[in-house]
Amino acid sequence: MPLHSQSASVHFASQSCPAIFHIEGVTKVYRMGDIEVHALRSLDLDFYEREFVVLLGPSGSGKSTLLNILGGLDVPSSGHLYFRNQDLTYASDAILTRFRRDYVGFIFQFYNLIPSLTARENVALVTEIARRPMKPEQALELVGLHDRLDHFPAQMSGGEQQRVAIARAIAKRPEVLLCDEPTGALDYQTGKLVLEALAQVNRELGTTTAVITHNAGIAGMADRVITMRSGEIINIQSNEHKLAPSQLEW
Amino acid sequence: MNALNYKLLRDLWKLRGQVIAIALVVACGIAIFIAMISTYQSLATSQLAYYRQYRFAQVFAQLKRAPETLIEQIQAIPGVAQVQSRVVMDVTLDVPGRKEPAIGRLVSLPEQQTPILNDVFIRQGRYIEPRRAEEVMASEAFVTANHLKLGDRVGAIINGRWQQLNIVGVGLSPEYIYEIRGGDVLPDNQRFGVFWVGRKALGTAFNLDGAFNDVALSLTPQTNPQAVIFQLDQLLKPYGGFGAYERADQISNQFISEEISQLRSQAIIVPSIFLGIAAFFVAHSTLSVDWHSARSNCHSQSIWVWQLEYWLAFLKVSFSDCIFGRCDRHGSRAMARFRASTTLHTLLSFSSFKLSS
Repeated sequence: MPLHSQSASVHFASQSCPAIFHIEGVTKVYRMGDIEVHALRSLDLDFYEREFVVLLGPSGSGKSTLLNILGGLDVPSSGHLYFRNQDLTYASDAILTRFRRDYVGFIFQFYNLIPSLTARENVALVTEIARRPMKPEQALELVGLHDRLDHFPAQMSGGEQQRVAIARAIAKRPEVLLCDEPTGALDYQTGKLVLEALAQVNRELGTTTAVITHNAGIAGMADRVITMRSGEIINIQSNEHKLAPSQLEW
Repeated sequence: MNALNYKLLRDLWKLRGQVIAIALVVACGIAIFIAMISTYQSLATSQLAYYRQYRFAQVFAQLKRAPETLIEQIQAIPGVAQVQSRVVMDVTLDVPGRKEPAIGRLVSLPEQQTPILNDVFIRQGRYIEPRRAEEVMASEAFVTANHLKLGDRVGAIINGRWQQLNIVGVGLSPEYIYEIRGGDVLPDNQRFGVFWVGRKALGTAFNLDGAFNDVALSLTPQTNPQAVIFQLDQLLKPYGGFGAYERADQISNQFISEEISQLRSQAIIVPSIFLGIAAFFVAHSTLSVDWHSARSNCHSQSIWVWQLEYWLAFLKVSFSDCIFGRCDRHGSRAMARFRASTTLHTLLSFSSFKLSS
């Protein structure tokens, strides 16, 4: 049974901040011929400013679909999505493009860096089109790569490449950072470095961060942990005491 | 310089071998195009200039025999600018050094050299002299093919009588650029040639003195040849006319015009092959860059399967973009996979595109 109704009765430290995302009865159905796949089933959920949310769940539980809808990469089949009280449910492609460009940063499991550009230039690709970006060097310093500015992706480890991807995502000062399995391709130590970078961005820039993961060990660093299964939220848990990434074990 | 320009320059440098190869292929294609189209235009212009300069007729007709007085009536047909009556006969030739007989087409010329329709350009030698029945000018192609020269004599059976023809000149005519006998498929310059003979001598030999069996017309501008042909046929009908025809149906002109026209087609087809190959190289080079970077996202076991999927997806995206102007939001999984896996797309999706579901 979906527990979205329980969310109202649970106290979250972050609820003192205003909601940045508000979703109401969001459903997503994919049609493959005669077969309908319900990726999301009538979700009600809020995301708050400055909070760090971890979305847990098995494959096919709807985490990525939810993230894509939040990021304006996909649209719900029914229900409503509000970003700062603005209804994005029926927004045009142009508005969604504007929304993604100005407010949302994406981080994927694979870094998707341009191989022929250095770390600084990869970040500059975004800062050149963003509205009020930080300098590429500043973004890279935030993720601890100030000494790797002129290195090409092939000259960096997987963790460093993922941190460049994080720098690229935060360089435009997004209000929301959406991360789909950011540590999925990384080993334990490198994964921690990347999580440290995400925590630092959340802490210092106040960027609302949502991280999709299969790894329940990461849940300890979140303000809230949302567990999904079969397109429904089955549990929402708030952490009274967040752990530092260095304290996480998995 | 912005980051995308850095990317462009580095990618070009990385692919410099292919870029140079593509540039050379494109250069070859363009060079061939320019060379062939220039040749075509040059030949087409030369053809027209030659026709104009040597007054190539616009309407032709053959008949059995008509009196010269008919010329006035032909001249009176509306739209006719100039009329040239001639005697034209095919005869059997005995060519020195050749075992088999050849065919010669004897075409009459005025005894005195005057500007006429289908005029002859004298390449060697001189014009025939009046009242010298044995003097002829031979076509250059026949002379060359049979290794003849000025002063050589060729035997001919003219109206049943053996006669020697003395070659005093070698000429060219717009009417016989290609020398083909009616019924032949290809020119055979050893077996068929054109000889220009004095009108009086030829008319006398074939009992056509004061008469003609061939007529050529030029027309005034804007004249419809078919209207003239109709009236000419009416006039020539009592005299055994075989049916007049316009320049477009004249056999030599047909051959030469078709060859020039083929050159124009080749000027488009051959460079297209080069440019097509170059386009394939460009597409392959561009996609291979993405293959390498996107391979890590690929779940296919075989790189060939992956490349095939990639090409198909590429074509789908191209077609849908061409046909609908944009990709459908609910596009196929292949398209989604293609878009989601390309490095550049991932970057651009932040700002301008929307991923398909």
